[in-house]
Amino acid sequence: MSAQGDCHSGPSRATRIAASSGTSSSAGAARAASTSGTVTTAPRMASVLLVGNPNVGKSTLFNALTRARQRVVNAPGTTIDLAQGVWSADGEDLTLVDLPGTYSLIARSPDEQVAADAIRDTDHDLAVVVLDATALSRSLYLLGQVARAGRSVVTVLTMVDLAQTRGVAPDAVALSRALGVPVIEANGRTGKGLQELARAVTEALANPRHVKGVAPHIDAAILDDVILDAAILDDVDIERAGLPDNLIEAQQLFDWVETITDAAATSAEHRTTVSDRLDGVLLNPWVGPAAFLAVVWGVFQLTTVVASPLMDAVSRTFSGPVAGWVTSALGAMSAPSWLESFIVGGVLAGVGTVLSFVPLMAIMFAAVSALESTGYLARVAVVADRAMRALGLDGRAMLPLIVGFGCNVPALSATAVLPHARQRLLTGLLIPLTSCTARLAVYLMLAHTFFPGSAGTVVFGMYVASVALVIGWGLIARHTVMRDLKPEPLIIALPDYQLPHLRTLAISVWTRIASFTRKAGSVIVVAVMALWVLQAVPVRGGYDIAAVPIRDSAYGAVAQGVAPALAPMGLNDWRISASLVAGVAAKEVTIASLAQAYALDNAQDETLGQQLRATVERTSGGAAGAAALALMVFVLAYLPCLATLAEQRRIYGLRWTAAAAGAQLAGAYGLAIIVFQVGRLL
Amino acid sequence: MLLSALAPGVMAHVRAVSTESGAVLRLREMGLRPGALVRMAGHGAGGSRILTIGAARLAIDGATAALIDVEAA
Repeated sequence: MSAQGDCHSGPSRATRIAASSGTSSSAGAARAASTSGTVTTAPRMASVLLVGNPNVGKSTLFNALTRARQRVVNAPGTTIDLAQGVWSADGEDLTLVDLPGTYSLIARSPDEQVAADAIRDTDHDLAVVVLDATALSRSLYLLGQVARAGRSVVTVLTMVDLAQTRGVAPDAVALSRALGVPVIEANGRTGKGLQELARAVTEALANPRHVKGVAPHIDAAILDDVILDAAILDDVDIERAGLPDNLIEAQQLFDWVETITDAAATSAEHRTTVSDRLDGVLLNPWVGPAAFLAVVWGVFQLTTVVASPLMDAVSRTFSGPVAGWVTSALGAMSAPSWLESFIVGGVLAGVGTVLSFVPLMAIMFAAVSALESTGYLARVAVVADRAMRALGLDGRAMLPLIVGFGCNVPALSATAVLPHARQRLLTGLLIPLTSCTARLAVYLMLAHTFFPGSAGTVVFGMYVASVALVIGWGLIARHTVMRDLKPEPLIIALPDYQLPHLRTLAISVWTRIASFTRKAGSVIVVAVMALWVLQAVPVRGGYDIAAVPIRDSAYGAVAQGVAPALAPMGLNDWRISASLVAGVAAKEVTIASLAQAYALDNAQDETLGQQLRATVERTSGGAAGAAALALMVFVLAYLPCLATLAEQRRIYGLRWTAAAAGAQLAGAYGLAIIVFQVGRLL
Repeated sequence: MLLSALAPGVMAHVRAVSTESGAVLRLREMGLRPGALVRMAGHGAGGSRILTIGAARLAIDGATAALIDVEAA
């Protein structure tokens, strides 16, 4: 059912286009173009904002309206993701922007600030405000704020079926009459109401609609009454509160919300629903944490056990058949051997690395999106709240941090579940300290080589060290660069549980994968090609390009230059430094690089472990155990792999990525030196 | 009495909230306004309190719930 009666109109879009002709940024501005010396104007695509509380079906609606015609962009001046798409509404293409879910335009986080700024930005022509039928009062408050910003509005009523099961479904006709703007009942999952919504939006673009009863400015006479009412109703000292205007304006809107709900909402006795019963279990003080750990374990398994073979298959395909075909093709064209090596070892290896991450990222995105759309992630915030509070983080930060122990790259993507940009940033900076499975191979080899009798304990100790590093760095960050990140009270709406909507899920996964391959992928490919160049260029010995032993390549020269810096941790050897440099490309190749360096450097028939042990005995002056522990700590903490760095850069920007990497490297260096210097005394 | 002390299944009216302004405003925005009728749905993990206000469900931490004065309905 849709309702569009008794609507308030404002100046039309056409009028505003004419009025603003010649300016490039105002609402409905005309785009100027010069043709054959004459200046002509053409209307730009209208911009529509999708606004609503979290978990009201806003993104499902966005996906249903834009389908695959969408992309992830950064909000202006921030690294906050916004989904933007093209919506063919009633024959007219519109730009639709899915704003971060917010309860209020009085922002408390960068994400909410993005929504608030967009609402106040006159470049946008219309706001479609999503009203949750199960929590109408909360949605109307946000609508009132949007209206107060002077924004032309169309409203969408979602979750009507759930409201009906609770006996609280509002009367859409009465609601529209009370609000003075169209109220369209819609469901992004079924497509119900989308045509009506498109029609209402195109009509509102031509003839703007404004909400009744909400003045853009506060009337001075009403102000005094509101101050009095607020003081009587509540014990809050408004002067002391520091936000008097916000409280006063909010109180005005609460009064307005009550008049609207009186006119259109229905109330009913409490009915116990499936969601109530599930919450009784999943939020139970004993069962809740266990259920959460089970869910995290499942996600962890998906990103390791399930994704691993898929990643290997893609890597094998590139290094095997694809590399073979390309080599044959280049051979047929009589391409020089260095070019063949560059194409196969540089370009193909880079592309293969990026594509090998795609199954992993797809699985991660799908798992996290599914958890979010079921409504369970809001419960995770409750269950893990106490554990994460000391770091100033939301309970939901626990999920990406645990996933990081599988692989850091999808874990970074999983930070999207956090509602605050600063919390996402801190979590994203801590994730590289979670010890991914690729690092496990290095620990195992070193532990078996240097501590054969207690390898298991040593490896376990590395995981304990990883957790300690996350907590330690988190606390340091909170008291330095993240001082603004204070633990906030947990106040969170718990949406009804729902089954995930597969089409929405698929579109969301596709959009995010496209963003990853486009932004992070290009960085990875360039970095892998740069690594190839270093390994292929000889610096001595008169070798041909791409036919040089590592020791005599530019890469070997870099490793030899770096090696003395490892002396304070008892590891002054170019082969070790070379493997650490290779480990930045991918942790998986740390051991392979070590083996490669020894194979080239030493023809004796010894195992890698024996050779490495002999080297470390020499470089550490007989304290090989301490040096090996220092090496393991360094591998744990020094730098994440290229893919992680590229994904960090994509999400948080270059400045934060570089600063965090620098701090991490310095911290790991200091820590490894302490481990060796203390260890050799014991 | 304090909201944190409300037993599961019991309903009450919010009387006052005594915490810092940002939290007061957010609580009001989420529906915990003076006069609002709330129902304690249960005590959750980590000391949290699960409430219903109309058909909407809300979780708040135990410490914040202890700053909200209510009167049994």
